[in-house]
Amino acid sequence: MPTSTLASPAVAEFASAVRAALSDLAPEEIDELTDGLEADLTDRLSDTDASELGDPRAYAEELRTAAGLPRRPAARARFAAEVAELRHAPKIIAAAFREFGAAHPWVGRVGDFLIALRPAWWVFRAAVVTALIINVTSPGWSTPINGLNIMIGLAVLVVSVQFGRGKWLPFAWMRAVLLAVNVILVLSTPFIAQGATVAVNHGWYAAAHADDSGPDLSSTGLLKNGNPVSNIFAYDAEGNPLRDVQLYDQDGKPLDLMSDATVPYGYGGASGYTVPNDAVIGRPGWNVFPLDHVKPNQVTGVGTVKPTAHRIPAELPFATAKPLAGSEGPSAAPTPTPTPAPTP
Amino acid sequence: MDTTQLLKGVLDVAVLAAIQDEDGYGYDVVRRLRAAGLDEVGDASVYGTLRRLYSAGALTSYVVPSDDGPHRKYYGINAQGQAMLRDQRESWSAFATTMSGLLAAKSTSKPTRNIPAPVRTIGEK
Repeated sequence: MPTSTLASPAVAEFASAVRAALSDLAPEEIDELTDGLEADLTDRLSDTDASELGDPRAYAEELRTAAGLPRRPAARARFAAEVAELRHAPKIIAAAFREFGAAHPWVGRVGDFLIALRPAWWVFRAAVVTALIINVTSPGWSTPINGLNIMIGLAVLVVSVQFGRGKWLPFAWMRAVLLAVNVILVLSTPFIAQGATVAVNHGWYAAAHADDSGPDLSSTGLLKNGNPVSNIFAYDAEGNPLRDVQLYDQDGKPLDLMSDATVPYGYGGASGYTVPNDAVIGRPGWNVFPLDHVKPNQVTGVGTVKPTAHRIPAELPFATAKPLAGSEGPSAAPTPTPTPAPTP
Repeated sequence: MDTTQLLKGVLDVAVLAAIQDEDGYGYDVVRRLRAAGLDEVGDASVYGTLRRLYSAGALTSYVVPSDDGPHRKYYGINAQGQAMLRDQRESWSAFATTMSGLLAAKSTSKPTRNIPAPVRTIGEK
């Protein structure tokens, strides 16, 4: 006498194979069709001499046919049916959204708000696509605002708005492409926003510094023929070098060598860096010439001059200059002795 | 003659008749049908028929746990099933009488297998 409440392994295996062959049906239908199946199979095995139960798939087909259920579709047909089901996925998702929206009134209000925002999305989409077109078609980093680019922008805007209104989309694949573009744009919006923020901040920075630095943001101060002046050497009428000469411009402003007087040092040629005169009270003495030098090793890694740095007078281009007419001394007029000019 | 083909048309009424006096589980019904002489009836056909009659509302169903094996699902006939059995019994009787009479009358001659369909003329309904 069997004491186990479980079916024999052969019966359990056959029953599960039958259920697998019915797997295209709903779970409740499978349960109803095969409830008690193990008991019937066990009885059949004990009732007859047959040691095997036969083909479970044929058994399942007989079961479902007698129950008036449709035959199991062929694998290809099942696949086609599943693909066909996928086509309904958007409708099913939309229906689920509607159901959710019906249960939660705020969904409807948010939806109305987003629908009201749709034109803004169309314009944003057009702006991004226009920027992409101009960036791709124009060389370099600049995005010039000219007639052609404005025309491109307007054309893209019109197309974007018409697409948004469901116009100008005669082919189904165009809707698919539009959907892909929208998805890509939505996903890339954070990066676009970051880039725009950087650009706007840069624009503000440039605008804020336009007044004191002039249009040429790369200017480092005094220029001669567009090249920076690294030091100035003054000689008196007799040709003798002068020290600590304070220079001012026509407005009485200090003629600073550096445009930003707060920088600690400037480029001084081969012999080192120029540093402002430290005898000027209240501000860096960038207008007192010739500027002294410090050795390159006196500049720290963070861009400051060591407090203990030893200042050395800049090397003169001439020991003496040619005296002016009428200022010759009693001795013979000295010939200027050029020293190697420091390479700027 | 292939009796499995004949059986398909009458399996409903056969199953109803098998449980009209006493409830039975799937294999129980198969046993009763075979004991009555329907040797070729298939197990799965009987179970599927029970399932379909239950869905049609002709049968009741209940599960009986078993001490020494898997549980059994019993089916019993209800009033609707009794009415269905009555109707089908009458239909079968009339059909069997007709067939018996037909086969008895033709017993001396070979039955014509292929009776040509009457010619349908254009416009005929």
